[in-house]
Amino acid sequence: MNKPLILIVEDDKAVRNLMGTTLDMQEYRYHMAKNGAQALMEAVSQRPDVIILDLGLPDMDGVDLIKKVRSWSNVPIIVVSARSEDADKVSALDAGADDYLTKPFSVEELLARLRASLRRAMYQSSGGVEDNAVFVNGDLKIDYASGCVFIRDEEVHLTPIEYKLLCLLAKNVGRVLTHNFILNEVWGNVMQSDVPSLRVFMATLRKKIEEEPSEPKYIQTHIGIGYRMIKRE
Amino acid sequence: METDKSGRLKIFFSYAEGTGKIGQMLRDAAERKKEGCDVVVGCVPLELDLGEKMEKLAPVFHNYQGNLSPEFDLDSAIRRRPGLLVIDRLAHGNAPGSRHRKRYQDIEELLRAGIDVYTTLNVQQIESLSDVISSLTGRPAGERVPDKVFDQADQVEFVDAEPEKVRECLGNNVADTGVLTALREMALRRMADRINKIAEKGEDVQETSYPGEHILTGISASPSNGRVIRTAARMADAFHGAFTALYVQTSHDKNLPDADKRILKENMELAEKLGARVITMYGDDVVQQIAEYARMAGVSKIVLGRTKWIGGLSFSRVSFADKLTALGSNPDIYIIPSMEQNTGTAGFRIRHSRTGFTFKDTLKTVGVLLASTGIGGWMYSHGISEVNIIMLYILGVVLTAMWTESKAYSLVSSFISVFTFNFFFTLPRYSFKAYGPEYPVTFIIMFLVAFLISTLTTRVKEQAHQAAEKAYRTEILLETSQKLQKARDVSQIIREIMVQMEKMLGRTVIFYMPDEKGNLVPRMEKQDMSDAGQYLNEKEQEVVSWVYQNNKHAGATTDTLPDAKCLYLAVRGRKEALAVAGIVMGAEELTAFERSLLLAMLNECALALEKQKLDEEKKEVEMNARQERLRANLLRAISHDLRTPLTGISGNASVLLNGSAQMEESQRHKIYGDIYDDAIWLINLVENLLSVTRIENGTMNLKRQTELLDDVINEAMHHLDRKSGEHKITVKQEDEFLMARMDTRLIVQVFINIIDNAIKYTPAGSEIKVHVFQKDGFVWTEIADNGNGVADADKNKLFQMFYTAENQKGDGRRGLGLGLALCKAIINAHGGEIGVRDNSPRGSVFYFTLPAEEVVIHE
Repeated sequence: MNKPLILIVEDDKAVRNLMGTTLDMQEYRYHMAKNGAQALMEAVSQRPDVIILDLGLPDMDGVDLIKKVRSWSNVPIIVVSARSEDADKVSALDAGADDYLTKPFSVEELLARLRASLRRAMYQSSGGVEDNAVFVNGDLKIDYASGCVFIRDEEVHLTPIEYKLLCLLAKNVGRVLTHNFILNEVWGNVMQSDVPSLRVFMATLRKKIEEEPSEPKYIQTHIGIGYRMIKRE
Repeated sequence: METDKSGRLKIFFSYAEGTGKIGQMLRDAAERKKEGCDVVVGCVPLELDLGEKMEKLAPVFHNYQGNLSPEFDLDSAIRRRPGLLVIDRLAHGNAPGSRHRKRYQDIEELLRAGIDVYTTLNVQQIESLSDVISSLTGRPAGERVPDKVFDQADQVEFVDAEPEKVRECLGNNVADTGVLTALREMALRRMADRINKIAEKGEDVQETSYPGEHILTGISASPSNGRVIRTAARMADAFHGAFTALYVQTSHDKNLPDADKRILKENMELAEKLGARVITMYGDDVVQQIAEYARMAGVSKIVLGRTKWIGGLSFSRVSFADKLTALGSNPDIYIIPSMEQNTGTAGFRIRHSRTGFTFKDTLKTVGVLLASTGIGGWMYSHGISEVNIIMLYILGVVLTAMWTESKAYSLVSSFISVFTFNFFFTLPRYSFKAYGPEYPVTFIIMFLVAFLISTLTTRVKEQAHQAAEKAYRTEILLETSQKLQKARDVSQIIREIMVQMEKMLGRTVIFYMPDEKGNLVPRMEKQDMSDAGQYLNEKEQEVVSWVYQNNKHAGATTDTLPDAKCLYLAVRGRKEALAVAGIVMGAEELTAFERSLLLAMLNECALALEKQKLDEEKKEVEMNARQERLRANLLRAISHDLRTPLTGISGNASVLLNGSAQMEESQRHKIYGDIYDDAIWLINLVENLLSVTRIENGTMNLKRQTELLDDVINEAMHHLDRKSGEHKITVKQEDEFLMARMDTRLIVQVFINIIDNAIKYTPAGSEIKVHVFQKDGFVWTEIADNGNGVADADKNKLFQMFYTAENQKGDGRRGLGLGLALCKAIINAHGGEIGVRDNSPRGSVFYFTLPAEEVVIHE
């Protein structure tokens, strides 16, 4: 199998070098782009398997770049941004980014996210999420046809809302889903006042499917942003 | 309407119609237009062909009693905003329904809007000269303009013409040459006066250039009083002295007929317009009051009319001037003869017509007389002497004086008492004859005694009444002032002043305060007013904003926008209007007493509001200073403390770059570790600094949302110090669904700071327990360790900025002393508390609270 190709879009030289070195050590192939225009060109011509994108680009807004890429490609996009701007991350995720990293980040973190995104991309291309009647992720199994959820083949009883939430997360496995996205998909409308409800349902859902809720295996909380289902090996 | 530069006013001034001032004005305007000025003609009857076509402003038509009268359209002029507006007849009075009663008020507004104005004026239209001139020409003075408008004009051009020419122009029947010459002289003199005044202003000569000159005049309800006030104003002008108009309110004045009340109000307004300080005093003896005031205020000249001032007990025929002199009054006294004939008795006539006999009082008088006679008859039949009966009648008269309103009752009652005594009790009885030769003397003395005592009684009663009114005024003002001082914020000040005003006036009061955007927001005390709509509509709002912008009073019963439902008074600060008070006016106008009291109250209110404003500004300045100090300290501390880790990182890195080959693996590994530690320390510092930057104006700019404490703690756990592996950290939650509204990033920071502190200041292997529970509407978080604990002396200082515990860990690395101070600021901004207490058996417990959030679950 070919080594995955990764496109790094980052204007800061030191960070670019750090990422390059890291990817080299892991024997990934990679291309680099210093600005948005270059990134678009590379994305079209090289068809990367994953894009790592810094939101603060010199020539264009990172969110716009995501929208442009999303208009023709489903390639996983991991956004990198400086701390403090939660709103920026949320808008990037809403625009179609899959995951995000906050500066300063550790190399291990970057590699973990990269692997998760690649897994998800592979999972989707090898049959996709939508078509399967059964979703399997580690010990978690969802039988869409019967609407049943199993952990280690033991059925778990979920309320309708919890089931809907779990299905939504499963269909977008590996992606960080923002609060607004989830509210819109599950409740049909977005009201900020519903965010607390969402948290409560997530907590109960997690209690039912996680063995150790404080060390979640399946559903990750991204505080201030949203939730993600982790793809287990 | 605010512009930096106000417009310039140029007046084309002449002594009569027909001197060609309109033509001159239009020629000048055309000249300006040629120079490139944006000239608009507002309202000029004359058309001149001057080569230049000038834009004309369409008049607005006011429907007044079925007649449409064309009027100058002020609003569209201000909207059009020309460079120069040409408008005829400064003294013109506007049709009812216009914004202002007088055109000069329109022009003042135009000037304020930054528009230059050309206008025309005749000498007889100047307020202070109008009556002199009308006596000269024998024609009543028409529309008038206050002197200050003329004096304050930026430019006055005198348009002169020979009197013969004027007569030719107007036709010979208008006025004879002599009168015209006199008018011309007066106009020229007025011009000269104006120039003198300007020259004085240039030399910065204040009004007190003739120190001690203080002209006092009286205000009364007499129609001729206006002339007296104008004369006094001219005098004050000529002497450059202070000018005071005094109104002595006597107990009769509230019974004045409406016509007289109106005249009184007009006279007061006239005095104000002419620049007088209007003062109201209370007392029945007008002369006494004037003398008293003159002495106290150091008045040098008193100007009075001849007739109306025969005050008090006017059976003495001493003249007013004599009385004043007799009272030891020093000032020169000028008496202005009244132009009205037959005024010798006017004062007397008015005084009696205004007292009015009421049925009730008449009944009382008759009753007392009958009772006196009845008891007298009984005493007479029992042989009690006549002297006692006389005393009885005197008692009756005194009682009448006490129980009735008017002095006339005492007088009449005294008379009748004497006659009934004569009729019933002197021999021969039942006749008006008397045998005893001493009886006439007895009658006269009896009459005098009865009348004098009754007069004194009446006066005491009136004085008591006035004292009560005065006391009431003082009390209200004092109470208002006290309440305003106690008020802690603007909203309270307004509530207090509204309550006070409504209590005093018995009318609905609407208060308008500007909000942050400058919109005037109405406030009413009574919420349940059904007719509030008619006072809060757009038209009223317009009046309010006019009052606010121009810092002048307007609305019902004033000259400006009199069609409004309410009277609007500006609450005047030192520089600008602070607020507007609207008073709902029914059919009844405010009395002079109410008005002056109201203005005094609003002044108090303005003072309170300004004080509040100043306080706030001062607080802000202090806050800024504190902020500055904080930033300075922070910078100093940072630049100092950044050096240590940076030195470590750069030094270690250079060692690796230069000679990593010679080093052993374990040595290299140690250096890597050190670099990593220093970098992490810097990252944590930067996180805290980022939070600090969010402290603005002493409060944090919070982005709150409801979060599950569980999520927050998990997030925090992921960011703990690398060394946390050496400590045993456990989390215990009583309820997994505890929620609180918080700025998540900041609260995570609080957890990290406190737990990192616990890790940093306790030996390896210590236990750290995080315990979260809900109590009394708050979410409590306790972070307990079993380390060495915190010394009592340090407990309070711990949360101060730049404080670090002295028993440092051995490596000598200093913290910034920022972490806990930041935690305190964050928790306080969330409305919670933070603190530390001893743990048992050892260690310490840091705790903080956040307001808990109850969540309604939406399925």
